Amino acid sequence: MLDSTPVTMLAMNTLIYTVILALISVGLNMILGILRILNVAHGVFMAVGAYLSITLVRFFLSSRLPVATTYLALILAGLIAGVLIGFIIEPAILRRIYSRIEVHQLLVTFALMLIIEDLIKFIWGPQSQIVTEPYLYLGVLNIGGLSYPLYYLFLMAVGYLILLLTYLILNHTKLGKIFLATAYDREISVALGIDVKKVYTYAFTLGATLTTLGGALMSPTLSLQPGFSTDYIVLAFAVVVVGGLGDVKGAFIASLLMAFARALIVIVIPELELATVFIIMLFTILLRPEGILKGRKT
Amino acid sequence: MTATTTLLLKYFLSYACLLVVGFLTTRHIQFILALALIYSLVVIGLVILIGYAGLVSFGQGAFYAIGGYSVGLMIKYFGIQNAEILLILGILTSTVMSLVIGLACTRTRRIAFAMITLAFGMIIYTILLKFYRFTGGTDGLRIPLLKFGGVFPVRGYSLSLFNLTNEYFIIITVFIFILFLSERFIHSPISYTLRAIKDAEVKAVSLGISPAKAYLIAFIYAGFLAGLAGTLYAFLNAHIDPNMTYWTTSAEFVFITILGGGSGIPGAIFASILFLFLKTYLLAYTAYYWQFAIGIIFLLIILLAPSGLTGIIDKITRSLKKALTKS
Repeated sequence: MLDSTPVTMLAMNTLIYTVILALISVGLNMILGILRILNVAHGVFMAVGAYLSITLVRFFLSSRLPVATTYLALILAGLIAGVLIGFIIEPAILRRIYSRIEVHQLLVTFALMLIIEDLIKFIWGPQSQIVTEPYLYLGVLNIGGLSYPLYYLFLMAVGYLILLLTYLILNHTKLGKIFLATAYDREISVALGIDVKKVYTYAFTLGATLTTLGGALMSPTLSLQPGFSTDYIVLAFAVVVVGGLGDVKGAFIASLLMAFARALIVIVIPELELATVFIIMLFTILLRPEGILKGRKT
Repeated sequence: MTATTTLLLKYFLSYACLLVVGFLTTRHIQFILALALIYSLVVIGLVILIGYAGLVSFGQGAFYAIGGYSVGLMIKYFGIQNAEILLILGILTSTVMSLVIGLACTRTRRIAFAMITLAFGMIIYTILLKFYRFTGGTDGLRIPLLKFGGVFPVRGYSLSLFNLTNEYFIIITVFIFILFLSERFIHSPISYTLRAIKDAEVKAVSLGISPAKAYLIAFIYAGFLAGLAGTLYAFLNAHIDPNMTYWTTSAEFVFITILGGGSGIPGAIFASILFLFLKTYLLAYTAYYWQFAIGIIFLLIILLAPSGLTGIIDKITRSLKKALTKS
């Protein structure tokens, strides 16, 4: 019998890693496309979602609710974190810097990242945080000679559902059309009577919520430490560049590509696991600066 | 007095001032100041890249690490202990690497440039991190006490001039030389070319200017400065680690550049000194929350005074002058 273990591992790792990368980078790219801001603080938003979900799960468990309800707590925490971040940060800070030069916008979001990182340390403490109940409760599943924690299936189911919903919102609702119009031409959108200020707040909140949900879904599988999200944000940058700046569909396809490349290289040359992502990023900028989906540089 | 003598006098006075500060302050203060001057070398490079060429590099940490690790690896694998040879090798390696990396990076502009420099920085970071047998991994490398000319240690008190330490003396000496070199660079034709391209690239090209060449020269100069800074950091700190090229370090350099206003050398030096003293003392008094304070200060500056410290100082001197002429 043919040994299918490496193939199963490759497929599972790719699928899991894709959904995590996509949840972070689709939101990041949406914000870049509509607000024209590369949000360096996007990774730390994910951390806020993760930390808040840990607190909410602990609250559910301590109020003697069954473990099954903690899955609801995870999603709820992700939503709350995203909405809070979106409705506070966009109107209070980002709105003041839309007319500034790029490097100022980048650094304002970098400053936000530093501030929120320390707020997390202030609220949850510098020590690492673990809540594994939702992870352990589901047990493991045997597929293709490997035992996989069932929690990952839950993560994928919810994660892909969220991405599908985002796709539907962007492509089949009036709000999505307004987003697209604003991204395409801000001035004409204003002339057509679109309240661009509101659009920016909503788009930013939706983008932030995707990443906080990603953080919340990942939290039971991680030991949370302050600063863990700084690795994810650069991965998201790489995905966004490869998928094309501001291109939401491209970000998803690039997530899939990056996840596959990483899952493959881990089996072959584990030392190059992280470097692969950045090497793909490098060659994309040089050869296809508009992203892999667009035509070759002329 | 001719222009040259005034200029020389300026550097001589700056050097004398730095020396006097060294005579009178503790080793701790001299360490922070020396580190600030090392940072300001990187930041001066970024002022040229950002302020003059309009290119925002998020990978300056790469050259900082290349400078540092060329010292560490030369000691580890070739047993070189002469500080002067290591200094020259550090500068050479980082300059050659900035030529190679610059050839790729200067083909891009704006956000793509920021992202490609970020990618290079992160590639070097992951290599330093993952090939730990060669590079020491997260632990980094320890740098033994090196000597200049076999007699003058890079750290210690062999000068016996009040409190002046060797490390501070070496760094301010290199710093004054680089200050002179960088002011020459800023007043050279190449920097006017860069400004012309930044203002109107199409027009500059039609006048026969080659942007690629000008950008590459600016990139190499900035890479050389960051590499030199990394080499000096290895001497000063006696320890190097991969965080020198992590993206947050590179972002910190850009942060300081914009804090200083991003348009001139004095702002770069001033912002580096302020940043490192703030970081050191906030770290000492608040332990975990220095980033919070720095972030808030930066937000306030960028939202209220977009031209940074240079702008604030200009405003104060202008209003002082006004007040003086009135009275």
